[in-house]
Amino acid sequence: MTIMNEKDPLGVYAHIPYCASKCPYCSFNSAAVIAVPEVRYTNCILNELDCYLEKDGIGGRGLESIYIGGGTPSLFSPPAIGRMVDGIKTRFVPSPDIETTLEVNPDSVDALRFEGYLAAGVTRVSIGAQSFDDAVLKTLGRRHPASKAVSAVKDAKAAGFENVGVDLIFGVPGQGMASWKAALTVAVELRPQHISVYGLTMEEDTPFYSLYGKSRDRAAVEEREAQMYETALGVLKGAGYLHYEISNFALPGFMSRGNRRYWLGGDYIGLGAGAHSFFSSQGGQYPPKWGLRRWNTADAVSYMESIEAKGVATDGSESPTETEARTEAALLGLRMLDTGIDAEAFKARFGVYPSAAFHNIEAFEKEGLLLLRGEDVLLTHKGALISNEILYRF
Amino acid sequence: MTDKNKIRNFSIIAHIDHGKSTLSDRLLEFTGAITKREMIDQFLDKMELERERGVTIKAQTARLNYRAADGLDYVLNLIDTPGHVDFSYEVSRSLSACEGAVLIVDASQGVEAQTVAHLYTAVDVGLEIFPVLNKIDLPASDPERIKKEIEEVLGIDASRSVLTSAKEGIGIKDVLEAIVTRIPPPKGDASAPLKALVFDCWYDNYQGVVVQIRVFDGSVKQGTKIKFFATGKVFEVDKVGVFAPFPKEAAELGVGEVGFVVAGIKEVRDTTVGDTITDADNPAAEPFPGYKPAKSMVFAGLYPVDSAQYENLKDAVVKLRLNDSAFTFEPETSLALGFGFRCGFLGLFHMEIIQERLEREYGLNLITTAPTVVYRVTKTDGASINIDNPAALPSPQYIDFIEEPFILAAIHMPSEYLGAVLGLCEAKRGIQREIKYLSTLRIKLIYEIPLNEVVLDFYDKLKTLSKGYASMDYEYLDFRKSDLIKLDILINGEGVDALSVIVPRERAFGRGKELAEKMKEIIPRQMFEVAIQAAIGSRVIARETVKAMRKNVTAKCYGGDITRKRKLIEKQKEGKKRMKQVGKVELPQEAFLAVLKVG
Repeated sequence: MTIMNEKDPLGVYAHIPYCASKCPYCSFNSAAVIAVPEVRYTNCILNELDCYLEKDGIGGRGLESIYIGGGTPSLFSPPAIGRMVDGIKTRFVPSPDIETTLEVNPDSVDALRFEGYLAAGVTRVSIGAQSFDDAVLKTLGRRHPASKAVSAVKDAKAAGFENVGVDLIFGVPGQGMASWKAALTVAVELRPQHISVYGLTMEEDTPFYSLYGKSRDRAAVEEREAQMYETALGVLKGAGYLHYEISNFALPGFMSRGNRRYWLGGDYIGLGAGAHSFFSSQGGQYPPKWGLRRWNTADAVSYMESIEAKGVATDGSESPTETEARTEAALLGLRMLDTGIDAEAFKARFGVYPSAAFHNIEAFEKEGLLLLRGEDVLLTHKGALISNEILYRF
Repeated sequence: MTDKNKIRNFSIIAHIDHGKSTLSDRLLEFTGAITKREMIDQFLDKMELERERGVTIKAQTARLNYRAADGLDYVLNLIDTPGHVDFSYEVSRSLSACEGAVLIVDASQGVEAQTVAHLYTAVDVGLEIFPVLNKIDLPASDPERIKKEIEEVLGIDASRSVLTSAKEGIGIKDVLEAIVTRIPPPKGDASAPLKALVFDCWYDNYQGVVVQIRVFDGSVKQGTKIKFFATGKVFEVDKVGVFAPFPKEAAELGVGEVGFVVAGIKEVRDTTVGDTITDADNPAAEPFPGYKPAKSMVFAGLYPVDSAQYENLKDAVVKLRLNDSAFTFEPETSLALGFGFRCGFLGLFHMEIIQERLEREYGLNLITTAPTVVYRVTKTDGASINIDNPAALPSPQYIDFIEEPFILAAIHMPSEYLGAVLGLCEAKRGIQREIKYLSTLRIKLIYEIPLNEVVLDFYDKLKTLSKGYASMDYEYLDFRKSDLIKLDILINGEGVDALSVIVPRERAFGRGKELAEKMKEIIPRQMFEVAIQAAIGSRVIARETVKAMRKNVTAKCYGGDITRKRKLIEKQKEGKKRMKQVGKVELPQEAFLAVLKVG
């Protein structure tokens, strides 16, 4: 086994599976609770990490990012978050400019709380505004009004956060183009460093799926959503945001480092209920050649009981085959619109350039769906809209 | 060799689901032919495909030893029959090998359509028939009502019906007793020259062709030089035996016996069903009557989706033909589909079975083009050619006239569906020959119909219109002049030869419109717009557009999503592999069969 050090940095993802209420479109691992067991859960996160340090031999490695997502992590108090962040940092060698993101729900925060999170070591907040239109927020089943979404962004900035992200959703039933444009305008005026625009996906296990999943006219729905996406591109790029990932925009220097790690195939440790970890093949014999992915049991109570009993709560793991690893490299690499599939990194891993590994690249380039920069393969904006179709034929 | 007076040869006739397989299993079990341990439910439906579809495709037999109430030992030969209209000739041959038939009727549901065609065949070949009312354990069963129905609808004496529940094992012994006492023993002359009917045959990798026969006169054993009447070919018998139901060698097969013959035969085509075997050194004067050569009636192109599978397909069709003399093939090239084979089938069902077997047993991924019949084209220069592929039809200026095959269809049905079925026959260009009331409730319709209409969707429509109660049987009539033209389909401006169909001129416009609309439903949206046009010659008569796929993108893909997203892509990739790429457009199998769904 190769001994790794701070030159092989990794990222940590901690999942907080609690919400004040469950939104009808959400298929994420979360459950509504009255009171969050933040002390017990935080203990479990840190115990789990200790167990990994021993088992995976990852102690002493560099730490580039911490991402606390959910659920609604902002249901956890600043002291709990602080203990979690500190606990994670002390177990690695954190880089001086470590990015520590906390997902925040406008409903569960105020100016004071933002100050608390900042003091707790959080450097970046990602605010789930979703919309700035009360009607759309109501359809989405969100607990906050548009005014609260606006004040949350303002409060975060006022508290001293210099890296604020805002999430928006388009393609919501009943959401017109005017509402979407207005939301984008509000977002741009608030000037967060990062904006995510997510097309609403009707996931099969959600109430939304049974309500709206079987749309009669798929083509018309797609057309409307495509126009909304294109509108977002126009507004956000016009306001100086870089379109660096299919759904993500950032002011220069403010791409989400924690998330980018996933797309680059870097190592990350997932802690908490349902969290996924990934160890790439860098370092030889262990982990397996094409990497190792491991995930935890999803249920919060089972997770905690398992951690308390044996220190781990692994539910399953997989080692992708070479073909699967290539598919993942394409699936993830193409998401990064600024860099695409890094051909040299790809070749170092698989022995060939992407052009030799995948079908139809030339044809898609001719259609204006892909862009070749040297051997790197990138999606065009036109290609991004139908990127799944490209991947089905890769 | 068994004393012929102790032999009973019988078949079971039943509607699907009425319990034929279960009763067969019980008879095998009761007589000890197979033990519980060997019992796979529904033993007689051997092929996996048959079990799934619930339809017997190949005839199977089982020899049962039974000590009857009279204290004597009998040999009961159960001869199973194929269960689909495409195989009606094979059914008639299987039934001809019997002296009697057990008619199973569900005591809760009564007489149903599928039973009727086979029953009439059984009556035609002169079998002794007795009814068995099955499923008497069901609360809804009403044997008295059903008996009355059998007598009224089928005209068969039902007063001595046997009551059973095959599922519960009730009445099995009564069925066996009825077979012994009510079905006559075979007749025949042991000293006469060998005369045996071939009612099934298949290719076995180790023994070559295995021929199933019923001996009418004389006997056959190892060393007998046998001659096939129809082909004139002579083979020396390696071994004879019976299926009990597992194969068991026997010294000899004598008068009335049912069994198999292995004689170093390499090709199934040398041994068509319905042929007669005789002794080459001492031949019978005449064959068993009613032989018809197996004849492909429906033709379609079979192409590998992935051109690299052509050689595998070639090997597979060669092997499959060894086992199926009604299946024919010859190499064919399509501009759109590449290299493939033009194949002949008995009917649509036969075609589906062959495609499924090729895909399942040989791991192939195939496209079948729209089925067609053979057209006889007389050209302006007087030459006559047969066309089994619409794409090969000469240009109109070289055609003097076209003839198409007609069949004589006999349709049995309850009288309440008469109006609907008459409408269907007329819509399919049928010519009425006869309407006959068999009873106040049942009608027999005789129609002359172009075979092409029948191979498309006639049978399905007939079943739908009559709620499954109408049954149909047909025989080939003759070729007749018809005013036919070729309808072409263009995809993004390019003609796709494999999509061309031959249609009556007066219906070309409607068909073209329907076909374009149907294709629009079937062709999935692609990354660009797809134009579908129907054309006659250079004249476009219908146009539909499949809009381009506008948005298909995964909104979120973070750490926990990767495996799921990758699996989704892998699944879709598999799906794409089932599509045939024609030009830039990906066409699913159904697109090539769209013509079956219109008209």
